[in-house]
Amino acid sequence: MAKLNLTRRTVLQGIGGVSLSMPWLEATAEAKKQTKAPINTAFLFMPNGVNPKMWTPEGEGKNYKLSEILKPLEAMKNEFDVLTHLGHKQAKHGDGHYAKTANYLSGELVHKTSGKNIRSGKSCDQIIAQRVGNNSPLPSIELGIEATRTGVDTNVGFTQVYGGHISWSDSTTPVPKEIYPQLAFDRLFSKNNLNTKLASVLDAVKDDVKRLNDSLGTEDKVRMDEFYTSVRALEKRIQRSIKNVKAPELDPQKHKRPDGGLPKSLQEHMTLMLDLMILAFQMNRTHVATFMFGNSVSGKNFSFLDGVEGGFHQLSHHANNKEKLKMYGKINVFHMVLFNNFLRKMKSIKQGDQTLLDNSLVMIGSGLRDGNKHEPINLPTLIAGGAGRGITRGQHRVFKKDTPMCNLLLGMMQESGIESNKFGDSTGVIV
Amino acid sequence: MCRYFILFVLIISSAQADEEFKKIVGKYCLDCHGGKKTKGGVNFKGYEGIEHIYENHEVWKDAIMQVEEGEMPPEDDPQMSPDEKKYFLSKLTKVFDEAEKIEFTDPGPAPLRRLTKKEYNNTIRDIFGIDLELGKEFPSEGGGGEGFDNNAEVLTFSPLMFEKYVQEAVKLSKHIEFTYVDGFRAFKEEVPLRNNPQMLVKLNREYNEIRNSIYPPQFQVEAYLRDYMYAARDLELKNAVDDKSIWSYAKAKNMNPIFIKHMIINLADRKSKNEVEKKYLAKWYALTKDSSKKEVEAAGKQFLEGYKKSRYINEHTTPEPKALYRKYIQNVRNHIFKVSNEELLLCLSEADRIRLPLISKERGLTDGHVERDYNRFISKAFKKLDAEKRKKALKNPKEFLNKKQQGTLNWFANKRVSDKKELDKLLHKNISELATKAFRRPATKDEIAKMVQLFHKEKDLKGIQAAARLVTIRIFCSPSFIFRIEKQIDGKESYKISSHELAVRLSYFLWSSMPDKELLKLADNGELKKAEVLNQQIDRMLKDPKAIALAEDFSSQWLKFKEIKETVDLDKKRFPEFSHELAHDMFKECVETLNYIIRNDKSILEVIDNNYVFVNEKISKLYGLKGIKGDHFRKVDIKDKKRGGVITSPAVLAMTSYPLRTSPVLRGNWVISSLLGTPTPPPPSDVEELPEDDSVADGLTVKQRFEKHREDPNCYSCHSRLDPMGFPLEMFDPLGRFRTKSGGHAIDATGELKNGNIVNGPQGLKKHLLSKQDLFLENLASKALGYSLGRSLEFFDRCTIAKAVNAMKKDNYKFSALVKVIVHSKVFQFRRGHTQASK
Repeated sequence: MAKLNLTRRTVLQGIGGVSLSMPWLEATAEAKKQTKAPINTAFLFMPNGVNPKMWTPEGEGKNYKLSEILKPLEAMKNEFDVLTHLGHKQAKHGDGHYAKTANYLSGELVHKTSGKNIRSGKSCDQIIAQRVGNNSPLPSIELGIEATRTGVDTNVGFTQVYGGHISWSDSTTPVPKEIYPQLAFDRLFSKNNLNTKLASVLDAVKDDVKRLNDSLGTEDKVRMDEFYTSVRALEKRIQRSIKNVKAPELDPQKHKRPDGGLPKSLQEHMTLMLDLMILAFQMNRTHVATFMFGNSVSGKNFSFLDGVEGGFHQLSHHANNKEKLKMYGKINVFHMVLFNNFLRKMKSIKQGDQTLLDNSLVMIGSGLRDGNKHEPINLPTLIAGGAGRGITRGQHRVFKKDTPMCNLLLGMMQESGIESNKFGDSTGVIV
Repeated sequence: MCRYFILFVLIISSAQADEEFKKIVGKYCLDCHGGKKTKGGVNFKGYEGIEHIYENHEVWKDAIMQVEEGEMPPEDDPQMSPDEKKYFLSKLTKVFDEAEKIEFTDPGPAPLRRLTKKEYNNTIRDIFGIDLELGKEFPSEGGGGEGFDNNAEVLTFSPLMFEKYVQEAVKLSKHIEFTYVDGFRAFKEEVPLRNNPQMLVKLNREYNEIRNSIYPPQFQVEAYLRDYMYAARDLELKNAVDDKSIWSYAKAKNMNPIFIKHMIINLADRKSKNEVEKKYLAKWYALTKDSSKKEVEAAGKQFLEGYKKSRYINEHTTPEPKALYRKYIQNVRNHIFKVSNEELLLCLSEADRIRLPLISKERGLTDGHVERDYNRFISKAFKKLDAEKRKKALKNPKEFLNKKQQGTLNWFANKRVSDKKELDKLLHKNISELATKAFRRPATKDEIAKMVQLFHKEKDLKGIQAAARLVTIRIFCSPSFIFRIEKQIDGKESYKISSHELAVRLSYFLWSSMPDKELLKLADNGELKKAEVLNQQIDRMLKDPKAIALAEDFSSQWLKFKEIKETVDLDKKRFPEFSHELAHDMFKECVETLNYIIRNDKSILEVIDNNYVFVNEKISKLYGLKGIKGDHFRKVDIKDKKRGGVITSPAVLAMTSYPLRTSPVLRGNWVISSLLGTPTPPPPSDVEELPEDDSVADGLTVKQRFEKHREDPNCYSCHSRLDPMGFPLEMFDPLGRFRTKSGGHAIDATGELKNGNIVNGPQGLKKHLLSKQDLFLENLASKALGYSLGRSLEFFDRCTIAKAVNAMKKDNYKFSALVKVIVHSKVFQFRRGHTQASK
């Protein structure tokens, strides 16, 4: 078996990144006092699928053997399950990536369009956020590292909007992600944005909408409704912050505000965003989060990894070429190294006699299995966390072929307190 | 309406009755493109006649080309008989041809348009006349329709988006300074709120120091002076001695930027130092980057002593430093006049962009000060005049003052406004002016009244500037600013939009920003309705520097070179020259080229080929040009026929490469989709690709590998179109540099077209593309129309496109011809009636 060797440099960078962010992760006094913490749900999306030959582990149940890609997760093996044979039926319609990205968290059909009538499904993270998000200053956060590309992929006829969003607050409204660490940090922790004098501005703006609505056509009213909802969302946030929802203050000594702009290295960028997610959970800023390791069709150059030469998307079209498959796998391994750090950090945060990870549900996966084939079946999927009720992990769970991915999404929704028995094409519940 | 209806029915009936056509489609197309299989995402199922063509016009248009060129049905499948083919094509072509002739009365949807991040910043820039670079951190627009970020269909709104609008409005408000006389003005640097007593005391003191003494008394305090000395050193070490850096440094350290600047000038000016000074400064000048703190302090001490002594020497023996400082102070005094009745503002020239904040009148500035400033101002202005002019000027000072001076004079004339009613009137006027600009329509009485109320409430709590900030935030968070709202009129009939709305549509099309004064004036007095006037305005606007938006926004998306800044990620180990900065220069080159063509109304075919390039030093190296120095771009005429035109620009060649090698497929794809508007469907899964790296040797050249690949009939239909457009560009490496070899093989830059013709090298490619100019022009017209309307194109837009193509061909391929057809078109000037729209 080929040894996957991350370079010394990468490993060192990794360590550097961790030590840099560790201070954030120390539990504050307030957090320690809490006995029963709310459940956090996180959805991590990897673009371009995985090397299928290196993903699925051998064996089933507890005594399975980690596959090459999953090797970096060795130390965390008891904290997650590998789920095999989950897929999105609706995503089979439509070419390439777009029809398998925008619906990753809804399982709905992505309407093929260059712009007119964009439609995907309302994503499960947003359903959770809208129903239970009132318990925290922000109902949810959406993070990523790449700005949504602009334009239309003319070869397949899909707007790039689809490739840049996995969170949809309703079937026609994608939720943009924050890619700047500093802005994400400020949004979560800065109080300046929530100046109470803004209330008077928001009132005036709401009045504007009401006045304007009389003179707008039906379609324009829909857009104006989105605007109004957004104004209301900020208003609610301010009200919640005044009411002082349990959200402990950050210790500015320990939790440094990230620099402005985009971090130079991909690893640093991803690590920072994931750390912010953890910190947001830990500090009760939000309990729902999504993260995109890249937009679909992301062509990020991964040549910084030893033995990898080329862009992600290009390598994912490996054409069964051995060299390419190897490099493709190394990129997948890189994502797993980051995921391992993520789990480790969550596990290290104590919440009463539990850990943050125990009180969370985290899934990671991709909307494609093999980037060469673009098929949305047997999707690479991991689930971690005890959901606050001590679910034990550490298994390779092989389901019946073509089991709906929506079963898992429904499971996560139910664990988050949503009373629903059906989501998308679900036929059961997986947690 | 009637005419449209009849024609429409005509087409429907002829096509609907056409069982023959349906049969052909069923026989040859539906196996792959209907029902179970929808290869390439193309689905003809449900075809029942014209409606389907109408709804899916892009696909059907493509079908014409595919069948015409024999690409469809695929070679191995049953082929249409010549008669069937002829019938199929003639029927379909007829539908399209007729659509080009019909004057459709339906202007199509005009969805509500949110300002894009670019439009947002441009609009604020044009309201305040200063570019604060706002909106940079807004999420990027996904884009849609014809491929543009201003496509309203996907400009959705979300809570994060609104938070960003609020944040940017708050940011903007901090740059706003309000005076009753001058209203809301924005400055490059943040304007501190004035209700900081400590700050005020300090500023008052400094103000007086500057006014009263060339050597501020404070400078005699050693500690004070030392701070400034170290600040100067700090900034010099950082090489940050520009005004902006000084300002932000001073702000952070609560120091006076003017004094810091003075210190830097004084210290840097070694030449005019006399021997004694040089002696005292010896240690200071001997300091290096690595000098210890002790050494710095020792040098500082020596300098201080020297400074005290040399002051005397300076004043009496060496005039230069003193003159320098005097000049500097003079500069300050020149701009000391911007005083309003309630507060006093001290600032340097706007070019200097260093400002001192407000000082309130109540804090000790008397009318005397103002009076004195006025006298100084007048005498200074008059000093430059000769005796005779001075006499005349005394009678009518305004004639002899420049605009700025006149403004100042006017201010003085107004300065005694203190009547509360007067002030209120001014407040109303200022708020109304700002809101009217921001809302792109007159602000209503009710709106203004509420804003004035908001202002007063906040003013009572926190003062004038805080109130002005709040009103600014309120205006720039309003949907009336964020959205371009047009009046919706009830009824089934479409109607002409107002002149004002037309001006707005026009200016956002050509400038990505709000209309300017001239345009608004013509809209207000109705002149803009005249075709002549509208054409004059189009010509004027295209010449205006703001029309660079058509290069930066429209062209960069039409020709996709925007991607060079965003997604291109060449491998830096292989191409160490590639950097973020170089990518920006590549982008800039294309912008300069397009800007030149559009603003000078050259033939748009120069995009394909011309005999010049725009280069700076870095880009010239990629072209192998010699003797170009510096960062600025200039037009250089070239003889090299391989170059010239956007096709062979480094930006395009780099963005159509993979990190480690060129890609004839990506390049070919760019040519046929971005230039000709005839993209291929996506590749099927499970195709074998080329190795990553063209230095891998398996005995085959890249071209040979491709040819092998093309032997597969599945690949052939697309690659026979893609490859011959990409190979000719193989003469250029991923950075766009000319090369003759790749991976040890000589480059074969020929592509064979399906008809057997050979396209040889970039010259051959350009020639071939010029022979396909109809496709190029049609694509450009579609893109421009989609961009101008901010929506996906509809079937009935074909007539506008066809008109625009003809107009360009008749008028030397001028971009202005295209713009005029679009702007005069029904789709641009009309809106659907309310009931028509909500159907």
